[in-house]
Amino acid sequence: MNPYVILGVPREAADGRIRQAYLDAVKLAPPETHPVRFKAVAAAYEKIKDEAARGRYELFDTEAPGDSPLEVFLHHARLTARRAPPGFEALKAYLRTCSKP
Amino acid sequence: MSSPPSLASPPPAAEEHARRLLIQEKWRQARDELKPLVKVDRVRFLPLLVEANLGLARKMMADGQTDGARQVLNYLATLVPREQLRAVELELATKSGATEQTRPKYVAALVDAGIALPAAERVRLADALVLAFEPVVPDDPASPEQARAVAEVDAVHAALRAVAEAQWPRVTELLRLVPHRSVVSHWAGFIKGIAAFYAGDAARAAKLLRNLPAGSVPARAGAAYLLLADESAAPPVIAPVLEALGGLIGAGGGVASSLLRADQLWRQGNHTESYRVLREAVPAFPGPGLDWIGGLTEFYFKSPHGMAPDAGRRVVMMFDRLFSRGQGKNDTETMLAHRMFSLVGSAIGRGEDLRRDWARFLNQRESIHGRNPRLASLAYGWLGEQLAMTRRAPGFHAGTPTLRDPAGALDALQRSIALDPTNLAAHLQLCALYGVLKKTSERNRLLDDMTARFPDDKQVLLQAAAGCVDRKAYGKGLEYLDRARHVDPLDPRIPEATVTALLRQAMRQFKERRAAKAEQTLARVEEFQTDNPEDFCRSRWTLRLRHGVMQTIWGEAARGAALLAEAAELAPSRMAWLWFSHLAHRVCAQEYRGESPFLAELKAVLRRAPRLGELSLPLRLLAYWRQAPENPRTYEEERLLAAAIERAVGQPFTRAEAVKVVESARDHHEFANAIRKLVKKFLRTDRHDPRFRLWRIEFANPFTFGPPASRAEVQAILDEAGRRHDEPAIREARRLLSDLDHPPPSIPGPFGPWSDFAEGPDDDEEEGFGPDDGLPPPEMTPEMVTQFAELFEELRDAPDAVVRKLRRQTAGLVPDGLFDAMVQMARQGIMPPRPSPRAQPSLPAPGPPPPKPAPRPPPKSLPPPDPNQLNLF
Repeated sequence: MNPYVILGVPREAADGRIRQAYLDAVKLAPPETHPVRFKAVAAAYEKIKDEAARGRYELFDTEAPGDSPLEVFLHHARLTARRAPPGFEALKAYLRTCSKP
Repeated sequence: MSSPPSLASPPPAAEEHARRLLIQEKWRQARDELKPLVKVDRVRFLPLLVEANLGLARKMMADGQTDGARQVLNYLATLVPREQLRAVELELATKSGATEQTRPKYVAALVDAGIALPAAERVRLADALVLAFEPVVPDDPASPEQARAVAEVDAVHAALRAVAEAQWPRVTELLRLVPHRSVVSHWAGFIKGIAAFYAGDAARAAKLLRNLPAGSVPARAGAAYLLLADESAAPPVIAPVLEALGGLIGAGGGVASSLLRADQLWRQGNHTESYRVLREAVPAFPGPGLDWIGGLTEFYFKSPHGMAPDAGRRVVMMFDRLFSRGQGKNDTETMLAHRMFSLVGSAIGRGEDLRRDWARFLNQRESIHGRNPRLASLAYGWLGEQLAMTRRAPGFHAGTPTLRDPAGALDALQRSIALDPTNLAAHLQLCALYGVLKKTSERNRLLDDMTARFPDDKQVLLQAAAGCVDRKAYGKGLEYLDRARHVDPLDPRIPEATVTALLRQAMRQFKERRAAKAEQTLARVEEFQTDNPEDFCRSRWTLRLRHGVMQTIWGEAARGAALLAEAAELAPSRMAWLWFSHLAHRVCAQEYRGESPFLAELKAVLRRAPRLGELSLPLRLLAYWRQAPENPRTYEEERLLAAAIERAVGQPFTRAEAVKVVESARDHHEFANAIRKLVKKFLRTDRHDPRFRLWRIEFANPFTFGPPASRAEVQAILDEAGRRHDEPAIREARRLLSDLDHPPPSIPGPFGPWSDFAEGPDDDEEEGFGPDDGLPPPEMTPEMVTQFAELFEELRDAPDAVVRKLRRQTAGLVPDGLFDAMVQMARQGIMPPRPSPRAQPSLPAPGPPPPKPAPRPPPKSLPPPDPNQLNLF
């Protein structure tokens, strides 16, 4: 999965912000209790931790973020959706969508 | 419409059909199916008929057919008590626009104990009240039950707002107002579930969301959350849930069906069609962002790198066709497709294609993400590295490696340094390239710049030292090595390089008749000597020996003899001492093939037929001297040693001795025959030994095209290696299998080996493996060889598009790796030999012998650059 999405930082984020996002993510998913998620977070951090690593990722990374389009979509949705709830109006719209037969 | 079943006894098939129609929400057909059944068994089928009519009424309401819905309800009123229809009648009234008046009646209907409202209808009314998101007034202000229900709905609204604002304590506080028996208790369950989800408690979220009443709005909304919370949830994912999920993450409507279709095609292996589905359905796809579109974009453009070669090639071909027709969709597609072309073609493509594709990728990237000189420097550094790669011919007699595109590599690396002068890797690469291209003055200038820019970098200091030693500036070189040793006192390359520099300096001083100075220089070497007899650079015995040889040639002969005698005491064997003395004497005396005073004794020792185990050390010694910058010609020594190995094969030997000898000798073709004999002899005692079977493949047909073995054969060897726990054989067999599946990029070097094959002595015929050895017989018929040559001629000047087309046409006939090698060979003007009696010994040879191939100019052959290896004595 895209390391920027895993850590929740924009592409232009500086080293410090990326490190902070990594530390925050590790707090939420420590290796003792969330080994899989921790591994993903650590791998993501390694890929973009400094300018040279980010450059290598942009230019040469060939690791596909999943095995199928649906898996990638669900993975992306899981990462982004749990970060923050939608606003009240968006939540209302979502619930109304779900009321349609 | 189905024909009505017999009225006497309703057949099970009719009932089953009616129930299936209900499940499929085909209300009208279900109603028509059930009407006759009700006449047969009213108690059993009336509830189903009511369900069908209710469904039909609601469908009509959703479609805006309120009059039709009212007619259906009037009909229903003849079947069931009016109270049971309260919910749907209220819904109908709401649809008709009487919202203000009807909503209070919802509350009344929900709490009125006298109304026997079905559970599903109660849930519907409650959902309608919540989804209105408006304050509700009770129908009867005096009713405490209605007041309580209104308060509970308000609490649900407030809790949903608190969820949206991530105020989790307030959510908990508000939901305390909604008891279990409440008409909106399922909403409380839903809110608790999503609150747990956002708080990171996925397990609790999943548990709460799984227990919502089926068909309710919270259950439908919760299904998407459930998919997110339960990471083990695997497809099949149904479209409505995926659609809801799309809504939740802002993917918009209509995504689900395209995504499910694309996913299905992908899983069926139709990767290109899968991409097309999303490309056509989603306007912003492919996109560069970090949203879901960006995620899928990344997936489609990176997956081909990990696919099986054929599947990956199909994807690359699809993009190639799109861009050759000018049908690129957007900048992102252009950027990522050219990145893919470059990375895929980095190993096998033409240098100019790689340069063009990579430049287009970088330009598009700059237009999308902005200018980034450091990244561009990294990119050009990579390009330079790719273009400076050496190519080695396949087979044992590999030919001389050649550089791929030296001019392009120089340009790319210089550009990389100009874009980012702090790019150390590009400097090192350029330095190595200058060395390979023998651009000594440019290399020295660059090294001076590098030592100023990177004064404390070990690699730079080592390179600079090597440059100084090459141009005989020993003092400066040793100074750089001192600095490097301070940077990393533990790196063994630094003392090794220091010893090498000191020895060369001493040799020069001896030549200049400054023996005293040379002795001082050699005294400094003592600091670095080791007790490891196999460290040919720094071991005590080799240092004594070199000192002795120098004294013998240029200084005091008696002192030289004493030092040589001392070295002989310390040497691991007399043979090792003789080999090293002989070669050191040759190098010091700068004799091309002259005889040293040690050669006669060496030949005598070898004639006494030493055992195989005694020959591995001389082989390693020879390899060590071959790497010396003086590059002493060792043909004669190799022949002597090869003959000794062949003689030793006739004597008893152990497997360990044989392994050591093959490992030491396998990189040099002079020993090929000896190794073949050794391998063949060993396989007579253990015909299943996996390592020797692998070597039999490696040394069987040194000039054959393509993979040297079948996959099944290598797999069998791997299985045997696994049974024997033979780790080196396992590694080697896996590597070979990987080469067969993903052929490594390789092009042949000069044409010489093929000429040798056609005209030279056929060692294989005499010593090769017969049918008993289990090797496949030669497979190339003269017709095939002719076709092969014709294909080469076609490939020679063919543009890339034609090459790709030919590759498609020959798929299944020519393995991928072979095809790639052929393309490279053809483009270098290297053509295969036409069939000749020599190449095809089974054919009769009427008429004159085939013409000898015209002599070819020697190609520019360069040793591979290795920045980690010092080019020192």
